[in-house]
Amino acid sequence: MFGGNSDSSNPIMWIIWIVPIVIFVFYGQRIQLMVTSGEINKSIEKLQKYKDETRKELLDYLQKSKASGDVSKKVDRFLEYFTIMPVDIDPNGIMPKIKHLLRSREDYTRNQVRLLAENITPLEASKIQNLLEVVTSLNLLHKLVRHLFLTAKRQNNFPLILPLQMMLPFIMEQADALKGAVSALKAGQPIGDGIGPMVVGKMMLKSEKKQIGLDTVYAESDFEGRKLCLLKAEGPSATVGRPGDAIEILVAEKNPQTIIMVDAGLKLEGETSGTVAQGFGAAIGGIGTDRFQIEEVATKHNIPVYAIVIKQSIKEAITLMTKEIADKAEEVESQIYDTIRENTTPGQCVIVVGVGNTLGVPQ
Amino acid sequence: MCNCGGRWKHFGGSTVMLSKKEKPLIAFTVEKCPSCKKETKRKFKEGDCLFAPGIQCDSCKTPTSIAKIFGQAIE
Repeated sequence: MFGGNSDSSNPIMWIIWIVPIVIFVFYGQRIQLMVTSGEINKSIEKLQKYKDETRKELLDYLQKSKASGDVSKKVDRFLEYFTIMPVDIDPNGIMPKIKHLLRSREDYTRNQVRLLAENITPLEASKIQNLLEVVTSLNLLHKLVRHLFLTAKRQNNFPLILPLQMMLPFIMEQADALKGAVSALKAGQPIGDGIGPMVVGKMMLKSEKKQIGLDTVYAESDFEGRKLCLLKAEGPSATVGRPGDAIEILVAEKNPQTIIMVDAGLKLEGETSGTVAQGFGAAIGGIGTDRFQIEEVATKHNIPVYAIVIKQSIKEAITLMTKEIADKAEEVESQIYDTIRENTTPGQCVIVVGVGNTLGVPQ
Repeated sequence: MCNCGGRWKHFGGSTVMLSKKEKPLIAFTVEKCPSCKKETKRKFKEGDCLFAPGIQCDSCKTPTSIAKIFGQAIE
């Protein structure tokens, strides 16, 4: 019965062919779900590990800063804070609402951080605030990935797990970057995003610095007959300052003819880190409130806005500045001067803004 | 010579993508002499801050200042 010579007439061979086909037709998606689940589970465990490690590092740092009371409870409460964004069905007038909301949150966090430890310096407070943001972001990433994964698993919903599988490498890249940022934040070392403040900070070294907004300073200097208003966040604290407010004030007071913004820009895959590129428009990241403010004031006064960006990856932007990026500081400075020469005439005023987190970069 | 940046391994005619383990960055401080422009690179010490005064320059005895702080992977 089973001894036929031809494969097509052999029942065992039939079973060997047909059983897997039947299994894959009916259970293929489930098998794929199991394989994918294993990969996602590993990433969730990694995210959990990152979250726990950064939280522990933050608590250790707080203990070192002589924190008072049970800080772990307070930190855990911070991790669960959320922000309800304004209604956007009618987007008219939404920007001031977002700005107000984010400022309120920022002010509240800053005050709470100051209450965590006695006699804390502004530099230490800014570092703790940044560390809290890192832990909060990792906590959010972990919770989101876990939620999508568990929902897909509970419902045996394979299509739901596909977008998660596609997004996971990007999420893990972001998580790796956040984890890598902790050591630089604790040591007060400049990060890749600080290249703009580093260039402008160097340009304003010999000038008198004046406060122009919360955590924001400016200095005036001369260059070939032009008046320069150099603006950056107040270093060496870990802050981005409030460049939007500061530019608004400077435009009203100094009547500038040009605005030049220097910032770190995300590079595309394949581009070399530290490449310097020039363009037009407000080079500033974030949720968009500062950019909106700068665009509004520039349009109202018909001021051209030039952008110089230093390309880097997301990881390079928030971890210790790499040599490739630091080495470009002089080239960027000379590009700023070239832009001023090409686009202004002696007697005019130019605002030069160093955008980014100024951790470890004084002025 | 290919321009894959080491992300692909070439075995004869075939090319395989391998995940490259990133090396940790070591922080360095570069002190620059304002007169002779000589740069001295050393390991980062706690308290180092950009533009802060550094040690005296070996050749022209002028006080240097910290010009760069950066991370570099050691091979």
